[in-house]
Amino acid sequence: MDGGLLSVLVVSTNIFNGGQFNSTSESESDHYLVQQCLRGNSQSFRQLYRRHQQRVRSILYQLSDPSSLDDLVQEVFLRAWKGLPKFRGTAKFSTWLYRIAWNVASDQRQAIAQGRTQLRTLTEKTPTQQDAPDLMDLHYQDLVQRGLESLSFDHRTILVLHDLEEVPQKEVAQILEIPLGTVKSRLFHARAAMRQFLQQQGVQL
Amino acid sequence: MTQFPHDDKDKDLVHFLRQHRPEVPPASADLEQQILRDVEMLHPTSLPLQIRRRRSPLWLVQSVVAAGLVAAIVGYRALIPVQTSPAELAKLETFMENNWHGTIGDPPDGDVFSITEPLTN
Repeated sequence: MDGGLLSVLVVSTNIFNGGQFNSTSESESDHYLVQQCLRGNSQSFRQLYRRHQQRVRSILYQLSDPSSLDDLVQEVFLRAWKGLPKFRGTAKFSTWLYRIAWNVASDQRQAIAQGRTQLRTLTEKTPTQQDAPDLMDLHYQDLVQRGLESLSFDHRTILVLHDLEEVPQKEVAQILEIPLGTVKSRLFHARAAMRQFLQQQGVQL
Repeated sequence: MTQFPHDDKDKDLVHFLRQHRPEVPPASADLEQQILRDVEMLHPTSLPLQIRRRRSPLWLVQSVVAAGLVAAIVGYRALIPVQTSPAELAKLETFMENNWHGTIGDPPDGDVFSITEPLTN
């Protein structure tokens, strides 16, 4: 069986499954695709992109400037491609990739703080809304968005990775390179801050 | 010590956040192609790194063995005294016999340079 056909088979058995985080088999096939990439097979990288781009995109959207979202996604995957030869495989590929996404978001945040990037525009802030959105749903989406923005970057990161993207705490610790206890502590305080914000806006949970 | 309760309040909050999370705008139609194009362009520079990475650790052992051999050969040549031929020994002996006079005993006057006054700047 040639490498290309095997690649297709492996990928087909590990299609992203309903928002659940990586299973063991998926990680194994990620590893296989990484090996293919290292042999110069850029089509394997396409598979990795398709598998992970949605979650990378979501993380970046919550942690950085949404107006340049496509550029940031591109930056993450280019950094990943360039860094693949240095990827040791001790962690899961997804953990490593989300670490890159977090780095890109952090870099952009610092650039914004230094005034090197333009402010996002209101029209780009909420670019996609459903055709007939429920008014309360839109209101709550806006509250969640503003609530996340009200948090510190560290607390927002924890809430996005763990509560929104469903990344296990142990992997959050690996992504952020902090102890597991720090993850738990930050999560506790981030939730408290978010709950307080929502209560101030009239939402009782 | 701070406690981290996992109560229903946390579940309600997380459920609310997931239910009302802001929608992520879709990627532009050609983003995937753009990324793959960039990746293809980067490919020639990244390949040598892969080759270096996949090289077996055996190269280190081979290098150490090779360096050791070179050091041994060079050291052997440097430390072993050169064999002198009988003709060279005879020539050396003759030279010493002809020149040993005057190498022991008091030197003749005037051969020694004596300093009688202290040095001044």
